[in-house]
Amino acid sequence: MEAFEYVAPRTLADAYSLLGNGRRVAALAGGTDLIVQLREARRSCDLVLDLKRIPELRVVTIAADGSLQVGAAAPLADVYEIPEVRRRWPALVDAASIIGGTAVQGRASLGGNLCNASPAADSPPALMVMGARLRIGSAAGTRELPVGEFFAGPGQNTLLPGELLLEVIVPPMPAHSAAFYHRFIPRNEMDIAVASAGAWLQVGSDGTIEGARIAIGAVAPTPLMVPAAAQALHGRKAGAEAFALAAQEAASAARPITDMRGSAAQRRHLVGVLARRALERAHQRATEGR
Amino acid sequence: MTAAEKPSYRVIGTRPIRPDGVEKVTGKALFGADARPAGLVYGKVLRSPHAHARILSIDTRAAEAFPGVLAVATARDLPAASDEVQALGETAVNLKELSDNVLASDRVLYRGHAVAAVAAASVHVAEEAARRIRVEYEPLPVVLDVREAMLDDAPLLNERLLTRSMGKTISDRPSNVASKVQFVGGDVEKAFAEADAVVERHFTTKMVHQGYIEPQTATVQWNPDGEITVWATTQGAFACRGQLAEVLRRPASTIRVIPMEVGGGFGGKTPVYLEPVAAILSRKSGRPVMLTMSRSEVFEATGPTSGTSIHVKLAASGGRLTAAQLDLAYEAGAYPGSSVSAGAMTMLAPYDVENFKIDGYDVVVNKPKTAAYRAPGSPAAAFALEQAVDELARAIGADPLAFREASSSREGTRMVNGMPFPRIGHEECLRAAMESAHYRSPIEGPNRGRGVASGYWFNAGMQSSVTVAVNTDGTVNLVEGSSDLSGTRASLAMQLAESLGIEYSQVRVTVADTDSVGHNDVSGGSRTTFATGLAVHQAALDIQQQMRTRAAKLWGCAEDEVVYEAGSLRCTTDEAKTLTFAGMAAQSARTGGPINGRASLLARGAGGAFGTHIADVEVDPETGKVQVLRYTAVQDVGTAIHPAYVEGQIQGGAAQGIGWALNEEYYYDDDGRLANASFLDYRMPTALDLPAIDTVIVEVPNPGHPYGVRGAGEVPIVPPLAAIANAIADATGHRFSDLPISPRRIVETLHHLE
Amino acid sequence: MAEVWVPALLRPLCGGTARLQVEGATLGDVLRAVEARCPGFMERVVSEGALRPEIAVAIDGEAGSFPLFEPVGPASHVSILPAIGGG
Repeated sequence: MEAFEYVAPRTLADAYSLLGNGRRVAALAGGTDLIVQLREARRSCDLVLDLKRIPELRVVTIAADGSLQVGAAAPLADVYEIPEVRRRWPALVDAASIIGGTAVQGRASLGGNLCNASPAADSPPALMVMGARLRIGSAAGTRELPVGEFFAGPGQNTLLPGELLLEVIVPPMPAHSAAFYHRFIPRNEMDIAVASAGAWLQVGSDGTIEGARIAIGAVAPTPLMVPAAAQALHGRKAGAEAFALAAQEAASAARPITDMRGSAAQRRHLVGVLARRALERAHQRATEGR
Repeated sequence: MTAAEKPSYRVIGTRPIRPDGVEKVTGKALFGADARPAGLVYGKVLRSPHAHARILSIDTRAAEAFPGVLAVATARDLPAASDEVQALGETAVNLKELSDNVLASDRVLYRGHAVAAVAAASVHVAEEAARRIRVEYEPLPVVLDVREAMLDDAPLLNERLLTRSMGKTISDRPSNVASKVQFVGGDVEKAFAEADAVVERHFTTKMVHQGYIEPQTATVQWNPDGEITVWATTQGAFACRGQLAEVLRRPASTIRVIPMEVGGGFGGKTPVYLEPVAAILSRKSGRPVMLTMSRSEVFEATGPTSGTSIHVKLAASGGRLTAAQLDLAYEAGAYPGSSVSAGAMTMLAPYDVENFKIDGYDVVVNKPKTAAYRAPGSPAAAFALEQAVDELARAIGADPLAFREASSSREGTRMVNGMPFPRIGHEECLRAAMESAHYRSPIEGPNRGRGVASGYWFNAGMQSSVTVAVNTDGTVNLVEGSSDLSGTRASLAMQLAESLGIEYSQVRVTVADTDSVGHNDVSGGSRTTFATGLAVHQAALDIQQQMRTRAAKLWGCAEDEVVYEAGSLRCTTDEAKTLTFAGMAAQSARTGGPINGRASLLARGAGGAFGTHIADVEVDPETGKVQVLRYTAVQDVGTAIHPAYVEGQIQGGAAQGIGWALNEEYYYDDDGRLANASFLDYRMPTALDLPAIDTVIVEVPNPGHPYGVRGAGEVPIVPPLAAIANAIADATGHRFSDLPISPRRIVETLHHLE
Repeated sequence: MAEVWVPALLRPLCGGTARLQVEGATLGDVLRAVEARCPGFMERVVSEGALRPEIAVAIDGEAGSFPLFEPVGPASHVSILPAIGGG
């Protein structure tokens, strides 16, 4: 591991002032990706900027408009242990509770999972199908963008120099709608997704699909929204036939590679299976108690 | 055996707490990386980024000039090693190759091959300095696959390597095939022609790693007077010393190896990798130096077991196995010495097959030099054979266990090398499996299946030395030199307590360093409880004899009138004359001085052993994921000294075998880079991936041991690969002949993906 | 007479025979007796007065790198085999 400087500012203003200046800065929240990368010399930097001491980056609140606002450095366990989060955004819990093991979830953050921009990350497909947005800040002000527009490639996000990810905003789920996220791993623990899929469905009282979103992971340089799958579902009756069509679209949208975690052919096949199963589970959630 | 036949023991068969238990569960036990000699500094090894290249030059000047650097080492610092083979536990090593593997001299043969090393006050400084060493390479073509390496036009790893076979060179030009073995009996052609059913299939397995938790680490202090002290994590302190003495060309007596607790070995901690390098760095820096591998270094640069390619053709006639034609090619890694001969000799061991022809090839490839891994050579062979046996049983409509029983080896059956078996327990294992609740239960539900498989391992004897000091309060100190990998302190103390007729709690056991006990071979070959146990028993007999001599003098009776029995001495001609062990011990000083028992031996009579496993699996045909629903391992252990530790060995072996079957593999890219050199992507099973593994201990006592012990540690990794494969074949209707049977392989096969 | 199991690769030296009955009180005697019937055998198995490192011998089911003075019983079984290598 190369030598680097470490600073833990207490305010956002201090944090912004440390960005830039020609130095390579690595923002640290939970550090569960970053520290490993530094130790294994897969990444190097001049300064590690620890954001955990900035109070507003650790807050998890449900806003007046019913949306969930998660500070970028809040540990995952602080999110999924909130009973209302478990009730209203179960797909977020699907993802947050399988990133690393229990111990890691006490440190790892949603913000870090997003900024690390792994194509196989678990939170992006879940957040994408729930329509989540990101609030990004810099000394100049803040901006928002949909989660799906945050990723530029493996390990590459779209933050500009001087910017920090501040907050993840998950809107309330509309009535008769629900999301579900899952991944495939060869073991039952300690693995990274070979392929993953998230689905959100809104189903009318007669069973017609009124809204749908499908996102897939680990099958392209970035997590992907699959609009064609959503279009295939729209207006159809929720059920095996519609879900199979959407699954086919998801598999077609995939641009997977072959590596030690799986082959391109396997991933394309799997992502279809996962998309179909995710739709079934989202449908189940959306129609529970009807 | 039945309960009536089994001798009644006081201590053997009980389950006391292991002597090293409290230290280990409270974190006080000292492992290799806990060594802290005064003035300790740290080193880092620079490794080859190429899988095959000539080293044109190494320029260490920038590293030497780097602030904080204390020493830099390359192969130039090692004396030229002799080109000879030295016995190393169950294996043998060529010291020139060992030396080149420790620090490459003119050529790197695999990615991760050590090229140079740096010592500094901090490991980070050492790492930064190592990066400044300039090595000029001339990359050479790479060969990774065993069958490709055997082709006439394959890139050669060593232009001087010729194929040897039974004491003779049989190739007229250089080859990657280092040696060939062959076993022939009966008339194979005739037997195939007359067979009721014939099965033929080709199998492959990938290199897999032992996966011990503790990475290799070595700490060496080389004093100016030439005395060398080594803190090592090793399966054999004496083997470590011997290799170090040869590589460094130092007298063995100048090297003291202190065996630290071992965080897993499974065969992988018999070769030395870091010790000679740390020694050179210590000699040059004047400081004790610690070298510790990262996990990726462990994967890339220590010895896994061979990838294999095995062709099987079997015939059945009259309801039993009658002929086998087998062809085995094993990857040795960068230097010759795979476990192919063991694979070839164990493969048919469970069965009495009259007609056979077996060819085996030891082949070098651009991957790390293989090391021993639990029953080396046998699991891959069993993976191939036991699937073909399963297929054959199905072909003739026989129950797979009944077919195995009808074909089973027994006492007097000749192995393929002509050796007749002594008393063995394969039939007993098969019967216990057939009678088990597991096998009698139905296997129901879609996508579920059941598989069985048997396996054999020779087990080893080799050399052990122990001393036992009798204290005047009636307690004893056992000093032995077998690294305790699996609870052997307990199994040895129990045998000593049994043989002396004293309590287990009165025995304290120490695993001593190489200055403090006579020679002991490695803890390997499942030999420690058997062979060091024999030594312990002999030392106890030595003590008994000394006590009888003294009692005879005390009592004025003839020595042959004094009996030692159940921890007491008595005179057969005068009932009033008795003394307990403690009573005699208390009189040591007055009866001739301290009583010490000792034994040094080359153990013979290691009984080979068999196991039969039953696996139930469920396969998700859409994702290819396999869940092991139920697993039962039956094994003949001779006599279980400490049944809980025997069960632990059986469960551990089964767990490793299940991982090997389902997900573990060395995944190389075309350039010879290991792409999954971490526990994240080298997928060993976690606790969530395994069911509770039921064990059935069968006890067919080994006539070669006073308590009937057979080695227990290696057999249980032999059957699982095939048991799981057979279960998957039962569940899916498809036979998978290549390992691992990963979700990728299953979905690609079942869904005909390219 | 001891029974000697000739490994497949050495059988050409012995006219294809797999088993030989020979006299000999030690391993060395037995091997020399085989050499008398199968010229060239000794050189393949023994080097510098000891078994070659790549060769092992099993006497009555006990395999090892025995010394040539190892006693062999009148009805013993002797197998010549490759040493259990590597791993």
